Amino acid sequence: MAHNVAVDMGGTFTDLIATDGDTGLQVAKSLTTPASPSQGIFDALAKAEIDPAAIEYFVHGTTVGTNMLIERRGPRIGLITTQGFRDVLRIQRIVRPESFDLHWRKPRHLVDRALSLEVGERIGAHGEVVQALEEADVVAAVERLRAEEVKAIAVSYLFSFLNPEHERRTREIVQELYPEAYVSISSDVFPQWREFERTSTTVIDAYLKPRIDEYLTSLEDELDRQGARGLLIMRSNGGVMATATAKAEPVTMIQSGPAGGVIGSLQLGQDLGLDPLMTADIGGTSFDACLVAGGRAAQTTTTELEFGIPIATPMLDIRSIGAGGGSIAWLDAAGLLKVGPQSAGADPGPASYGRGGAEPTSTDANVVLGRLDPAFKLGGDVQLVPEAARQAVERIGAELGFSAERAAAGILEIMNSNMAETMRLLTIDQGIDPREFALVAFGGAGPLHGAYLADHLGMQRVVVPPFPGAFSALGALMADTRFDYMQTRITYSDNIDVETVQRDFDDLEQRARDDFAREGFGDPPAMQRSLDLRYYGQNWELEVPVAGGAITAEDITAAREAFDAEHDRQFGWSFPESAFEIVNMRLTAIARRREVLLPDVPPGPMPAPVKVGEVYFTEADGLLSTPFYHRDDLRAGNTFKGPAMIVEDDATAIVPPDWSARVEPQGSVILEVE
Amino acid sequence: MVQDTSAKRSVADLNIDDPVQLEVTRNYLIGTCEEMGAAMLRTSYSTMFNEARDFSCVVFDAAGQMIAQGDFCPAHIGAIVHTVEWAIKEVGPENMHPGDVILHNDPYRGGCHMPEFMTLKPCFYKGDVVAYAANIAHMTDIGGMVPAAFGDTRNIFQEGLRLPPIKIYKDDEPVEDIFAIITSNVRTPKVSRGDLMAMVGSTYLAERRIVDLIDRLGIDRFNLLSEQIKDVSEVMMRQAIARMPDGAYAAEGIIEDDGVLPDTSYRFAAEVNVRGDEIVVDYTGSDPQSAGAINQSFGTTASATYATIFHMIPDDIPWNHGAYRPIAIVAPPGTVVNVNYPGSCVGGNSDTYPNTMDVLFAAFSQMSDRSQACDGGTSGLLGIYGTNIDTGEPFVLLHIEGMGCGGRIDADGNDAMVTKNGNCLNSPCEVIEVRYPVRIEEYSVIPESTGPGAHRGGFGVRRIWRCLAPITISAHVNRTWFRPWGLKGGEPAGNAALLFKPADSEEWLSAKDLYDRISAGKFSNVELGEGDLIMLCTPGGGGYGAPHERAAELVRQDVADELIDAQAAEQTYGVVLDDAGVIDEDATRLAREEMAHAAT
Repeated sequence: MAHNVAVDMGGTFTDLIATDGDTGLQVAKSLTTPASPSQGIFDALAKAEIDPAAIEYFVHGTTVGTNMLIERRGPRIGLITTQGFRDVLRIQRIVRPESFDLHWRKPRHLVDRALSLEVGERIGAHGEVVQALEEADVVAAVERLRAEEVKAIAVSYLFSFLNPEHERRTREIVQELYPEAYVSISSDVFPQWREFERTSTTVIDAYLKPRIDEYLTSLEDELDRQGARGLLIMRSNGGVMATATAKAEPVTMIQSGPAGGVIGSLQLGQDLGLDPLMTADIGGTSFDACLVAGGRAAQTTTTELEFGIPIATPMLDIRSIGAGGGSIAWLDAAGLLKVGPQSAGADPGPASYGRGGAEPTSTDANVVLGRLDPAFKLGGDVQLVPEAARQAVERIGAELGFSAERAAAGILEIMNSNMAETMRLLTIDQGIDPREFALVAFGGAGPLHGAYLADHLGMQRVVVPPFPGAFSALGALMADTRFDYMQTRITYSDNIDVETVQRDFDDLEQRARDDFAREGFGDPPAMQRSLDLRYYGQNWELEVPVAGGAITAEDITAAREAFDAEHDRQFGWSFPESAFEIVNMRLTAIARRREVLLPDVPPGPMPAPVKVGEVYFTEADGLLSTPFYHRDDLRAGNTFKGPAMIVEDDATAIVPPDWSARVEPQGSVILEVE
Repeated sequence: MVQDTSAKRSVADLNIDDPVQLEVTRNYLIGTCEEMGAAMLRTSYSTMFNEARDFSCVVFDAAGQMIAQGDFCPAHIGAIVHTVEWAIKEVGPENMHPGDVILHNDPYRGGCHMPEFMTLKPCFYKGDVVAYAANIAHMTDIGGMVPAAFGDTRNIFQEGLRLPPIKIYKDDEPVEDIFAIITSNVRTPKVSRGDLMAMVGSTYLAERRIVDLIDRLGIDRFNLLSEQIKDVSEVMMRQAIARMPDGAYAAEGIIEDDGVLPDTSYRFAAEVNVRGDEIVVDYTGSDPQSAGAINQSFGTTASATYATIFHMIPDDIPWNHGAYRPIAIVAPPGTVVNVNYPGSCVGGNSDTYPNTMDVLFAAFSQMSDRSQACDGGTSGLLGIYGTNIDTGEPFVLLHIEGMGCGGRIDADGNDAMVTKNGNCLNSPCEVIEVRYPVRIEEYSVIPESTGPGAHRGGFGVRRIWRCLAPITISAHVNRTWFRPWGLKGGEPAGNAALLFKPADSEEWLSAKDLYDRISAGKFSNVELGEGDLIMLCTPGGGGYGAPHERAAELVRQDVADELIDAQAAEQTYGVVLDDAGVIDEDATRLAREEMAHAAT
């Protein structure tokens, strides 16, 4: 039987989901093995008893690259840049993360100043050549970097996003003189204005290249040896790509880990007819949130490795804060309760893991309240120790003059409010009232918090997807091959030339056809053009769709009208009479991969609970007798009122009092306010 | 400043019955400020707002006391407690109605300087004012004699349009007469209107969020929590001050040049008195107010005082009204720290402010190692005015440059940072060149601008501009001849320089020499032609501790980074490197012993 497999490799665990299109979905979990990352994958395959030779489709999401950046384990690299601008990475954007911090240190970038070399060349603000490329400078720079034995070279020239010729010629010279070195040029990596962000991203791409190439090549070889086929890599924009693409553009893997869950939510929302959605992926250490509206997951182009080191690449707009099952509760200088962002991680983990952790965490709070039951092992592996949880929570409660239950409820309430504020900020950026959203709650801890997060934001509905603990892997199986292209060409409305716009879109579409051919697609992908427009003088753009085919003046007018309407919708005002600018042309190219068949849950009668336990609810100010249902026992159409708990191998969902739960035919459980 | 006489000294005395609800509410209100900021960023027009992010958002309670702010611009956050208080007092809550928004920028009425426009929305719940949402933001051009306001102004009338607290929205409708006055008096009317709309819009957002919150909590509970939020910060602040050694610590500094009188300098004196859990900062002894724009309004002086003290406090305190309560300020009227009407003061908030902070840091350094040497201390303000090539419309660009920070007990000063009164971003060269008829030919750090030290100062930056069309330039740049000082044996840093090289010239000269201005750093309306070059160099930061005590490894790293050469390593720091760049331990020890000996 042929298998489709997705593996999501996080910092602690590697999750695997497999489907053979027949016997349903299979889940396995293994420990991530940083020293030899592919080992964790084969461990998970072995656990799931999957014969690699039967794999014909294999999607891999991984934080390997991100972790390498955070730990700065990459090789020595060089930078070649425009004369007069080698300090751009040192100057950065001249800001600090907090207003009143005497001790903050500006981070050093990933390339040394002495290996940042300048060459004579200059492109002007309209793409014109102001100074020709001094090839002798380039030769000297490459010779120097070769003598320094750098493993990769980043090339970033001013205005290369308007005219990439100098960067391309520089790459040729590098390839001639120093073919062993990897090269990244900024006009390929991120062809948009703002030299600091573009250079930073290009340097990071170059920094990742040697090791990502090594990792993916060894993974491919090993899969190949075992007869597995079809390896694809999850990409930050929510699509998948061939390993050749990942090796060529490793910076596009920066959100490879959490992207799967968003794509899974998008698909689930379409199946269930729910839109807009907000995703809440809560693991052990971090909380990731993203919006889905109008059938699209929110996209952005900027994130940060740390403050002062931006990474600009098309990606899902996933916002993270340090909040999860391992988040530690503590008292601030005034003796008041705080939660996170510090986490007990997986080792020692929460006190209730019984591995020596003594700090109270949100998992411990859930244990104290009776919401996580030691009768069910977490992830099938961790045997909870309720006494340890109670001791840890009691200790902090004593300092507050609280019972253990009240302290535990407080810990969860504060953590929920921290997450809710992050989500609310996301909705502001999209101009949508949070109350209109349904929440998709996943990750090991997501279903424990979903209803309460919804409550903070005034949302009415929460979706607990099938296999919530491995949902990022499941989502990765649903991802399409997707490439996002962009060309910055800032053009004042009076100066718009339809032929130039056409030519730019033609170029982007040609790139898409080339990329998809390399990905192994015979047919060209489905392509959607759009324009980023703004009123003249504004600095913030809105993206509006543009029809395919030959671009006409009417298409530009229609885009402009769509822009006015969207501006009015989001901000409450528009200036239809004002001049405007085209900022970017964008192209999204998509080719469908697979349909994932979620397991059919047959209808049936309401099962008996596996147990009835006493669970503390703040809203009842005490313990309530609460049925625990096993998710495998639930049947489509089952509807029940809270309080209730739904337990399964890798997650526990809370149905609070005043909420009800309904089981969908494809396994999702929908929680609704009564 | 209104002092609360019933000081809060212990959290136990606050009778906090529900600390969880307190924390959640505080989070919510801070989140509200951040949302206001996100909305501003998305809807505003000018680069100053949405590229530089020079604005701040706050929520005040019905008593006119700040209960929440996002982490925005220190200059705004310090002054706004006074700006809002004044506006509420002058308009009177009884004269406020649902749908009102008040605008205010008057430096003599609690404001900081006129480019900072404040919008204030009284938030109503069941007919009563229950809170205020406010927003303060830097308007690039406000009319007056100088595009973007910064130059050699002599009085408030030359600085632009002054607005006492007035209503720009009534009944949820713009008061078009007021808008017409504003847009008729500025150089970029469209931008100003767009930015004002963004400011107003964000206060509406905040009002909705506050009403939602009160719907949940009830008004009595909201009021009680507001008090507790402020009181907790007060307690934390008092406990932090109580840990400082009592005493009086005096320091002074100089601002050179006011742009109006030749070769003048002004003394800024401060005495920091730590008494138990309170601090009184007394500026008596500072010079009479200057003829030029370097004066600080009281709001600016207060703001600089708060910002320095907050830097000196290691605790993570929510910066609301409670945190300001244990601080008192004495600033004699008619002096450089409390300008009287109609004295000029636009530069005070932008370029004198960091100097005032440096004076206070020097005072604090007498009682704590947890301080820092002098920052480069100038925002390097250039106002550039010209005609947009695409549209034919006038543009005004206010350019802010980074400078080097002073060395600290635990680290070198940061390179190329905005001064501590602001936290706004620089404009990328590519953004500048796309928008304005200039080309940037160099943007680099200046290693020789550092003040050497055990922890050396950060580096200033050099930027060279080429004019591609005629433009008019004005400037307000400090420390062109006064050097940022070192601390505890650290050495002073290099100066700022603003120089010009006309298209037909081979020589870099100052505006003083070339364009007959009184000051090289502060002047207005110099007309430049195509091909003319501008070079702005900003100062580095002063050093902290003696240079020969700098860790040899850090010196080696600076050499490896091509920031200093081996000769400077030896002469300045006593670190001897061999040809391979490896530290020669023995020679280094000898050289350093000699330097230590010479120092005693």
